[in-house]
Amino acid sequence: MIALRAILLATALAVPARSASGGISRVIHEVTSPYHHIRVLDDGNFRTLCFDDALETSMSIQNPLTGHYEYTEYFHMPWLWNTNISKVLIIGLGGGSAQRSFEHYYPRVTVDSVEIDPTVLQIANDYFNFRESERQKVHLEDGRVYLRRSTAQYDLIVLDAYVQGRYGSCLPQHLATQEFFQIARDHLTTNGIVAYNVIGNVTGWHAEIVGAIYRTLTTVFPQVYLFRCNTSQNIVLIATKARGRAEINGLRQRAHLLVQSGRIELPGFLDRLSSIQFAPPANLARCPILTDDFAPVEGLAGGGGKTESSRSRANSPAGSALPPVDSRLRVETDPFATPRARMVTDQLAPPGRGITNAQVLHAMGKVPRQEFIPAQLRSQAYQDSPLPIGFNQTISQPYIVAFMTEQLRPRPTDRVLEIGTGSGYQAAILSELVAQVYTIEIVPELARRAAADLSRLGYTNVFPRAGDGYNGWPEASPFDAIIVTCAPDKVPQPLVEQLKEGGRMIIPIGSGFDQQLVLLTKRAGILERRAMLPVRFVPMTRALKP
Amino acid sequence: MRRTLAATLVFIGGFIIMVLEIVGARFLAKDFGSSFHVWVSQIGVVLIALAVGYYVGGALGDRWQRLSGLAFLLFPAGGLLLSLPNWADWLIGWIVTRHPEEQAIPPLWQKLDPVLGSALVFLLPCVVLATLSPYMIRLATHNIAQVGRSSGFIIASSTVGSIAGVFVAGFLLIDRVRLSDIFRIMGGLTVILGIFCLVFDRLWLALPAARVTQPKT
Repeated sequence: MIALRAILLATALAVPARSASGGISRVIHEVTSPYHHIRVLDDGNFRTLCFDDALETSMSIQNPLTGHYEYTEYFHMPWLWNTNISKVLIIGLGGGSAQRSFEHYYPRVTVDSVEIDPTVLQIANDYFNFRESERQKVHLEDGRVYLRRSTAQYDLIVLDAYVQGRYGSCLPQHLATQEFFQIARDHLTTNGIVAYNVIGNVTGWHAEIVGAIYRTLTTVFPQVYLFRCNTSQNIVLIATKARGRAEINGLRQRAHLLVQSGRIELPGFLDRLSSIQFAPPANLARCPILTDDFAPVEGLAGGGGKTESSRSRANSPAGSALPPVDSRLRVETDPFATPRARMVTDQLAPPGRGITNAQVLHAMGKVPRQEFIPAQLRSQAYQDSPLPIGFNQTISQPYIVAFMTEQLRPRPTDRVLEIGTGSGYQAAILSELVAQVYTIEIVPELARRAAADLSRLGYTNVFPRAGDGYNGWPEASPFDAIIVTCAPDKVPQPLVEQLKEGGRMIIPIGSGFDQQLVLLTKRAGILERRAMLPVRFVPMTRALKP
Repeated sequence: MRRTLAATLVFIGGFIIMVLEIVGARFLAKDFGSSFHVWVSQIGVVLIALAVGYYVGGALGDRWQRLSGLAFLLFPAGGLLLSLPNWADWLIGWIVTRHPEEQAIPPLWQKLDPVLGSALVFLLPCVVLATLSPYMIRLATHNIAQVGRSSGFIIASSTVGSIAGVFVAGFLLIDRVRLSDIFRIMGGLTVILGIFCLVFDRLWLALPAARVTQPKT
């Protein structure tokens, strides 16, 4: 009897590689200032600024206008309420993500930054492409002391002075009180706006601190809005001096106008608007109003809900989690969230690569790939390549997983068969997108391990089995879609039979270096064949079973 | 007996000093920011207060030799702390606003302003509270042969009080009680210490001193 050896794919050829990340970060600068132990990390593609054990800034070395943390983009949202912003104050310099993008995108805007730590300014200059100029000034002192003594009026005041480490948050309490917000209001022009970066969630983790700052803002400003980051646990609060409450259609219209007229060129500006939440946090009434006299920020941050499980949790930059760089660096939040988000933006999404299916991108941004990889290789979990997982098998390159998943056009009601479980990562991705995943692996040890990992991570709609993939899974057939992750010479007939009418199968066919990734669609019992990509998968080797 | 009373007194004194130091740093932040200089100032000023208080307390102990003498120091200190929320803001406001608005504060004053603010607000009460230890060593010791043990016990009690003050202030009070109320509570405690000194003044003399072990000759 002929058996199949389902060996998982190796790397795909002819895939446009934008960057081949080394994946390992080196500490290229390390210094202790009176405020922080500061490190600059560099992995060849990205530079990261760390204060103690918290991430402050990330920047692409090739293009310093990219690679930043998502939350800094919400500092551009105030244009929706005030189209005449010309003078901006940013409290907290860090690596200067917001400063750089304001300088680049708005030629008529001048930015004043206040940074308490002179060492940070030095590092921003030396490592993060930051340049002081007429339009880009830095004041080295405490933000509140500066603002109190300043006679300047601003159209926008951005607060980004929050550090989150594993020993709790360091929210400068004097920058979160009613009295401080009054000082800020007095330094704002008529339609002035405050944007405040808070680390936390609307419910659960740090909800008390988010609620308290929200509530405190409402005592000083007529309107407060909230933006929730998709890739991290940051919340950006927007408080306006304007009295009227904006509504979503008006904001959308204005956003389109700003983009169409070319006044806003920030990529993704329109998408960021969908993160807005108009309703205040549900716990608002239970949160205290923070005053100079009573601002228990440590107690609020410590007393909140526990951090979420590592599977669903995203991390929080600017005081956030670290990429998997160095065993000395540990953080409280999921250290893989940032590299995972970067994987999605750099390796999968346009313009670098062409995965456009939002659900697929979301699943890729959600499933913890590192959990499917041997411990010693976890630091490379999100690099742009396949990795060995033992038994001469590999976990595929993220792009190939996303590409095949996208081509399969998964629907929430689908039942999908996978041949070649391997690590279980592809099954987990599918699990996020379809109703049921049936997956077969011929190496018993791998099948067992994948089953254990999938169940540990809570993927209850995946049904793994050890066995011969060539014959498919007749009892569970027919399937809406079949995905094969090893290359046979021709399409196994049992799989064709188990495919539903109208069903899709994606499968690499050929041998050695001459393989094609093929998409098959079953119409009236006949397979329509479309070649997708030249690829190189490990062959589906046939062995004789005793 | 005298030693136990003395230890209680200095324990509370040490407690109040450290609550003032920790909570005071938070209080200064709203005007001087959360700069490193604020913490340096606060620690420096409290240490100055301790040095002055130890010296003065020892000298006064030798001169007055009565428990009631402390009440004359503790009442004004308590009064200062009780009323601190009413005058400290004004005083610190004066320090900050004396620099012209549109000029950067000179680097020297960036460092010295928090020292000045901290000293004006916290130095006097802390000096008074620091006098307790040497003063009580003097009162609780009647035999030169006991000085080592007596002073060791009292200084240790005061330090244990300080340790308690640090953790209670930093981990409990900050999260639960308004800053102004913390200052008022510490002021109240200081006044109570003063009353205690008055009440026990006469009793003190009647209390048995620690047993004297006569050195064999």
